[in-house]
Amino acid sequence: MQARRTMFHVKHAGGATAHGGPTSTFHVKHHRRLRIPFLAGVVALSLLAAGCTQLAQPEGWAPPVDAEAASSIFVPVERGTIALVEITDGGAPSERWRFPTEADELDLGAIYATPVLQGDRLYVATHGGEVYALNAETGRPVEDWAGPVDVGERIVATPAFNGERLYVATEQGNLVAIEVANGSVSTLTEGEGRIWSPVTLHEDTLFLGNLDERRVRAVSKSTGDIVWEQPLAGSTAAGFALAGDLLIVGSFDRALHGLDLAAGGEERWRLDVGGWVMAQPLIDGDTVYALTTRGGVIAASASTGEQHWQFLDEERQFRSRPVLVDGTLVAAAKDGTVIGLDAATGQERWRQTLPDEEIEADPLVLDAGGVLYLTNDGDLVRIAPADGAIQRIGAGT
Amino acid sequence: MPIGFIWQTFLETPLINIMVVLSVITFGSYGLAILLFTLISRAILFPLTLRTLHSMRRVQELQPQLEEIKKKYSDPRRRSEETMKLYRESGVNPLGCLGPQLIQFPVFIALYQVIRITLASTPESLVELSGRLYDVDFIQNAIPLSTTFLFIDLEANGSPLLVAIVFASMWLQQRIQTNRSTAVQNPQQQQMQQMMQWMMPALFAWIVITVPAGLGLYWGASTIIGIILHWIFVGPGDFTWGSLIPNVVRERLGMKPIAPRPQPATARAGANSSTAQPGTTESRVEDEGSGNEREDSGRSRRTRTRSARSSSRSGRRRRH
Repeated sequence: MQARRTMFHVKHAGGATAHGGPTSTFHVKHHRRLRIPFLAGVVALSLLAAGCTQLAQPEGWAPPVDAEAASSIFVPVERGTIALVEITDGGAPSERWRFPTEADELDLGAIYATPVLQGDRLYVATHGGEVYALNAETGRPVEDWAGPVDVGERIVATPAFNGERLYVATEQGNLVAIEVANGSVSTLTEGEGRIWSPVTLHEDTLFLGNLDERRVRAVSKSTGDIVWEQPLAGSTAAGFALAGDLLIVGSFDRALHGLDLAAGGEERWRLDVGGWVMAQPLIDGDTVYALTTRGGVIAASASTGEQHWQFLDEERQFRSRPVLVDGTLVAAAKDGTVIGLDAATGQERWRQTLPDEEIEADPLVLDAGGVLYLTNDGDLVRIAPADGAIQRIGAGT
Repeated sequence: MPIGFIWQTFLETPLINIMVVLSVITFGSYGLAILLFTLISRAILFPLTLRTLHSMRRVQELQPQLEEIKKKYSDPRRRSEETMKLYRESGVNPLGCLGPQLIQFPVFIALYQVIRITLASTPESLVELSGRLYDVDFIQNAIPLSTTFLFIDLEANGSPLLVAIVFASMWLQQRIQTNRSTAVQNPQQQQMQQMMQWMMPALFAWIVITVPAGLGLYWGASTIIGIILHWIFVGPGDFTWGSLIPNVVRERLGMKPIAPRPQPATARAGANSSTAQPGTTESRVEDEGSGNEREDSGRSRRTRTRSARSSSRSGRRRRH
């Protein structure tokens, strides 16, 4: 500091300059000194804003999908990339293809919708609103489509498929049908509000859950006409479950609703579950299992809504749907805790924690045994339902 | 205890729930909830704001003594020292106007996350929101919140209307604040203020472009409230709405042109020339830089003295 002052004096005493006398040198130096913290502040704020913006980026939670070939799965190995991966016992997974490749110069962005496998085709709907049809063997876009179908609106909901058409619901509340033969698009219904619940197809009817409009709507799959509409007290973002003539809907009003399909969606029963339901309920016989974002696991009668048992761990948030294997209900929480419960009683059998991992994607029950989870970091973890033993099988890459 | 935990538990999570409650109170309008939150936060900060405004008023009352210092000392360094000494003795902080803005900044940053989470623009943020809401029925049932307000999508980035509002309001705030609080200063301070006059609005306009529009709504509303408070308790200074009309237009309208504001020596030499706005502001000479600037400073000095005297009486006199 002293040295700076000395410099100031020297400069000041140094005589006139072209800028108008000795004071100018003083001013310029002093001005520069003032400007540095200001510019530093500007840079810091810019970095802060940029960092905050980065945080808001959607990442996607599409789960792995069984490739119906020996030990192979389709898995979003990283944001915007899907791959066919072969899992071998004990060994590292081998990647057979990935899309897009570097040569494609594509970025699919976030993928929330579960890819749909039909025959030799894999349909992938991206959050950006594009639907790709890939050859499941090669991972290349099919030639029947001129390119990806751009529905022009964001997609979170998993599409439904009826053999000829892919039914895609968007964040603007619209429902479009894509002819898989040629990729042509037609709008079935126009609506409002975000549709995040997977589109459920039952016979000739499509069921749509609306997040913003707080309702369930049944729509004719051929005409798009509204068959019935059932308002709910809360929003719905979870997948539905079908149990006989009941559509079971989890909602943000912290309840499960049993809607009677034969009676125009009239509510047959309602069960308070104590938290939002964001995971698709699981049906096993007459029992429905539901998870909540406040750590609740509930088993109830699917036909009457009568509760059998409830397990509660308020520190856990369940987004990923439960699976039932050999009498053990396996539920994975967002914080990486995986819990095995006795499906008959709700008693905890085992608990495992995946440190520094988060789980939001739905699991896949492997034919070879075990439940496969894809973590938010893109790691694949196999859990043994009997005892919760963890096997990390790599990142698929 | 990690900072992130403290930040989330004591600032972010309560704010999330407050915003949801306000949204319920305002019939589900998140935009109105943001405006209501702005009013409440400004009301909480009002004692500090009032203290700052009084400090500005005091600076204004010191004008005659500052004029004396200017006349008495030709050496800018000495003059600056004496000015600061006078400020110290009078218990005045010439940069005190930054206080409320600096205190608002953590709220601004927290509000960014709060808006991002409460509006649940991505599925991940909806899951995150579920873990942050208090276990109260009407809070839990309020989700999702309405994301539009006056045709503005509050979760989308870069609403042009809000960018314009934030830029204009911050420019005006800078304009009326810098005028009074630092009436007599050396050229580098003056240059700094001129730079701030444009840089601060530009910076915040840029931030508003990059963040959800809800945050822009908060900042714009907060700035406008700040302007109103300043106008009420200190006055607009030498700012007049008429001074926004460029000379070219004034001539066509038959109005008296405004003399361009003289620039300090360094600015005239080319440094930071972008801060000069001839024809858009009134003559406001703060010319302690060098001797040759004194010649053209007489008129403004008289004007300023007159303004200071009248302002010290009324606190809000305007000149046209």
